[in-house]
Amino acid sequence: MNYYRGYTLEFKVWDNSNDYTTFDYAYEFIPYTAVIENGEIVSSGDTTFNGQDLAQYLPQAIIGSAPSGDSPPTGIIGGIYSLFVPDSTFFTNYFNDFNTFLTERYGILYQPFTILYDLLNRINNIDFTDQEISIGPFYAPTDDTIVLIPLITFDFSSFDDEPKVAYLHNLYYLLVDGFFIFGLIKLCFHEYNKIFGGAKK
Amino acid sequence: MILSTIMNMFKSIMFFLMGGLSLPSLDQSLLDSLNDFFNLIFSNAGVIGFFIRPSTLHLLIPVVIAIIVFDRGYFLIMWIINKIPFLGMD
Repeated sequence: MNYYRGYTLEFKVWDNSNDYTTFDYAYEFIPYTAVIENGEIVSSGDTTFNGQDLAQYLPQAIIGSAPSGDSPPTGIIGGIYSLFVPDSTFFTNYFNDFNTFLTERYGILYQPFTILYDLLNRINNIDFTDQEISIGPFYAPTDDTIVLIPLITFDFSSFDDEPKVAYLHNLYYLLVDGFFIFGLIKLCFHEYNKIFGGAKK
Repeated sequence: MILSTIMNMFKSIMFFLMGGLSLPSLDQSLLDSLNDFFNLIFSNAGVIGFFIRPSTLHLLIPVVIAIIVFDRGYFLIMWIINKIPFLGMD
């Protein structure tokens, strides 16, 4: 039966603070023959590292590759890659630093951008499948224990529990889809006329 | 490493140039009220999905935005092309 034996080559990349990152490059694709009985190796092929293996696999280990997926950068290519391309957290930290700096220093001037970002984020995260409306509770401005309007919740999707209503709802969806498609085509014609129909704005 | 060094230098220069100002933030109660208002609107905005099919919304919103801004992009490109004399486009 064919098995595979492996060896590991270790690389070190130094950065400017004399600190280094170590990454291993494991080869697990050197086939050898072994006989296993009752879960123990009874006899095996040549497991020592020989010159032929070195000539065959060492160039690959030295050349290496850029990171892909979860695998780290390896070899010379990985080293060059790390030299030019910052790690994945760099840009996040970089813009977070800017954000913190502008929030602290520019306060009221930077606030509209923060609010706009928050607004766009909220629009992006609207879950249209959650068709529940809930309003309240609203408390008295002077006393948090007095409830002026209690929590009101209504789930619109509960209409679809009734099969006939669900059928009608689907028909309604179809009608609205048609309406939107018609509107989209009309918008396309409008834009076409605006651009090629002589309008300058 | 090279790119990150250049970007860090840029950041330090920007922080140095822009660091002279220190403005106060908006009043926290105003921000809280705004946040409550946004919460009220956007936690209930999913109900639009009952009136318009969610997949239609997801498809239509980017398409409509693209069509609306298309003419601006077109005029910008034509303006740039008109600036290139040897193309001879008016």
